[in-house]
Amino acid sequence: MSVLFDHGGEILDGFYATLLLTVCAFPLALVLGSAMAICRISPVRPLRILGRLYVDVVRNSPLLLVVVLIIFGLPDAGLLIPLFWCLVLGLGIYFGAYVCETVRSGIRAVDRGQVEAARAIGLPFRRVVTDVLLPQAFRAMVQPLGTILINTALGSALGAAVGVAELTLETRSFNLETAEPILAFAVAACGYLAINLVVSLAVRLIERKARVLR
Amino acid sequence: MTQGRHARRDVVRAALLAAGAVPVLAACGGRASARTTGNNAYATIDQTGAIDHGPVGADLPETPTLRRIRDRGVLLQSGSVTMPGFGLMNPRTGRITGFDAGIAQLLAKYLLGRPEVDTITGGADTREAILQNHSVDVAVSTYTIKKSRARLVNFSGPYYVARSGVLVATDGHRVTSLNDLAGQEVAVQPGAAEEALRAGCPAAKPVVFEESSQCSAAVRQGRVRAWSANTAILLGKAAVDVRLEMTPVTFGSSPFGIGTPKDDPEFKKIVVGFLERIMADGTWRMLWEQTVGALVRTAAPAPPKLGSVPGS
Amino acid sequence: MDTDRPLVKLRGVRKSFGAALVLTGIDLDVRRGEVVVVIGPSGSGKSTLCRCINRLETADEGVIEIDGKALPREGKELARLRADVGMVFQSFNLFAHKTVRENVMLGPVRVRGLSREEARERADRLLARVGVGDHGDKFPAQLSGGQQQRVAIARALAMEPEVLLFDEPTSALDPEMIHEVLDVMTGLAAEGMTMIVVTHEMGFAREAADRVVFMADGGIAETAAPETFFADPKTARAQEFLARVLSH
Repeated sequence: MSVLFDHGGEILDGFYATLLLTVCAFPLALVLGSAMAICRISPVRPLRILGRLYVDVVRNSPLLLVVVLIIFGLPDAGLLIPLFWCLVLGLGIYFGAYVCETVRSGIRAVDRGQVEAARAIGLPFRRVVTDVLLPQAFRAMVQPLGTILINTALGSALGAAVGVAELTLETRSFNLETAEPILAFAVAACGYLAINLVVSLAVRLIERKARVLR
Repeated sequence: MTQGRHARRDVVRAALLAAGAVPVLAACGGRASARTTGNNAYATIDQTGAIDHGPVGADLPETPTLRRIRDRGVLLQSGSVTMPGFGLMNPRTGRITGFDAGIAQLLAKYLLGRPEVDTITGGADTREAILQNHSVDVAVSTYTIKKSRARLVNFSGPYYVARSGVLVATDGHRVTSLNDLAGQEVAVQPGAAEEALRAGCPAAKPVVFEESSQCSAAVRQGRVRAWSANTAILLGKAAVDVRLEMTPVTFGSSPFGIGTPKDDPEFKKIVVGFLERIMADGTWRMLWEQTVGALVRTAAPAPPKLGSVPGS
Repeated sequence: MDTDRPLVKLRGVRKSFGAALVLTGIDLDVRRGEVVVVIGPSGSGKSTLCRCINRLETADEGVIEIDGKALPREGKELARLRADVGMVFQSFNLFAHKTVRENVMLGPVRVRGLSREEARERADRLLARVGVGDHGDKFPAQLSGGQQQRVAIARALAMEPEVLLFDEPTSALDPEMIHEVLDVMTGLAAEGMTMIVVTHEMGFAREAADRVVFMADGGIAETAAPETFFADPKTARAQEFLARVLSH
């Protein structure tokens, strides 16, 4: 156990990096995914095609491929972004596709009458979406969005393969040095479990609050 | 188990494909230069001659591990598929070439009469665990013999002693001594190279990439100051890419051993006997020439002395 | 203002869903201040007609004009026109995530550009008028059906529309709540609001309508003042229909 304390600093740094990756990537996924979902239901055909293309391409690519393309593809196009932000971008784009589908199905779950009522009082499309559709769709989306958030945290472990010193990489290095594989994995698992538990708790709280309004 | 293995391979394969896509993008950028077609020197490695030359063990004592291997008819090993010259998988054929891959095949031939090997690519962090729970029979994966690890697994060896080198971009910063790396970001693959760098230059900042092609791309694109790895890997890369060059800096010495389960000391003796055989009958030398030798282009050294390292 | 010009004018309006022809060519004029009640058997196209007038359904053919202006296709123009044509639905369709007051305020703030204070004042005044003034802070699900429908009427009124469309506003209500909604509607009719009401409530048609339009098989079969229509229906279809609905 004492070896753990010798390396506690690095592992904590790794945990912090994992948190930071998640906290940066998830909002990006939310914004991108929601924008694309709106494209997919918009009355403008080219936008619908764009949204569809985004989801189809990204969902059919492994996360690693997306991240590796960003890390090693962008510099050849003259854009050298730090590895950390490459991973944030990759996670955001990748999980944005899942957010898009979640938002879209959440929107589909909203009663048609709600949209008709909004249109009937003369709200323009943008307002129908922001004032009526999204807030109501949000309730059906809380649970799946929580899952996507957890997956974003877990997906950030890919950083270990592409030079971002997050939790998995730090525990891996810890094991390399100390040959304590079970301890190392346990520590990493606890880190991810902690994030998972906090997110699940938050989802439950938000859902309870949303239920009151129904 | 089988399923997990395949899933893992898919990920590795996807990464290899992704890395392969990068030169294509580079070409689109209009900056493609001559002699940058990638892994030619790596791709030509073929150790089948050495395997054909390898011995078959006779009158081996029965041990639990050996019984498992013979019942199964195939040697399960934890190895790498991303280390050129040691274990590199051709994503099209699925064949794994290199010195470590050859050692594993020779060992399989020694134990079974046929070089039947199934490689599990768990990476550097799972080797002790999967040896302990008998998910694999051996680990031949640039596996540095260390006392801390010898608590958990048995090592036979060393069968190779690696030195780390430093590779930089031709148009990048000069590196003339190990100290030049202090405070700099240095690409490494996980495992032996990462350990050697942490030990040899603690002030350097290791940036860990899974694939050798990612390390070289990171150097080329100026993302890191240098790439540190086994000299054989680096020489192989520098030979085919004019944008990368070797520095004279070498450091560390990583004695590679064959990891076997801790609970079967008799099996360790069999493996030591195997290493003695191939070192004595010229098979080791042949394997070296067909793999590492093809990259470094020097004469083969004498094999290391077995049991010469603490932990072995 | 040109008083001769009809506020709502339909000419040759046709609409089909797939192979089913729902409207077979409707001509209808509604004058300013007039209350037109549309009745007829189910499936006769009454609701579709109502929904075509503010383009929740798109007519396949024909002309629909509001105050002399043809119904625009999509976009901002259409949204602006819809603001002038209020709609009350069978299933209320109050915004479930907003309080009763916010339901009424949304349109005036977002479409009419009122300040929140003005909109709030207007909402509270209208809610009091339809008799749910005490429930402004509740969510729709906390109200009875009758209360919800009255809120929906307040929401439509808040836009100060030229004409109000009612699509079977009492069909989803328990019998004891129907009258409270009809009372509000009767009051509006008395105040001179232009209304087109699709309903099965013959009592309302008799009392409040200036004109009864009887629809059958996607067309207008008969149009008459209520006293004439109920006393002496001309067509066989109308006689049959009235015999059925008035017998119980």
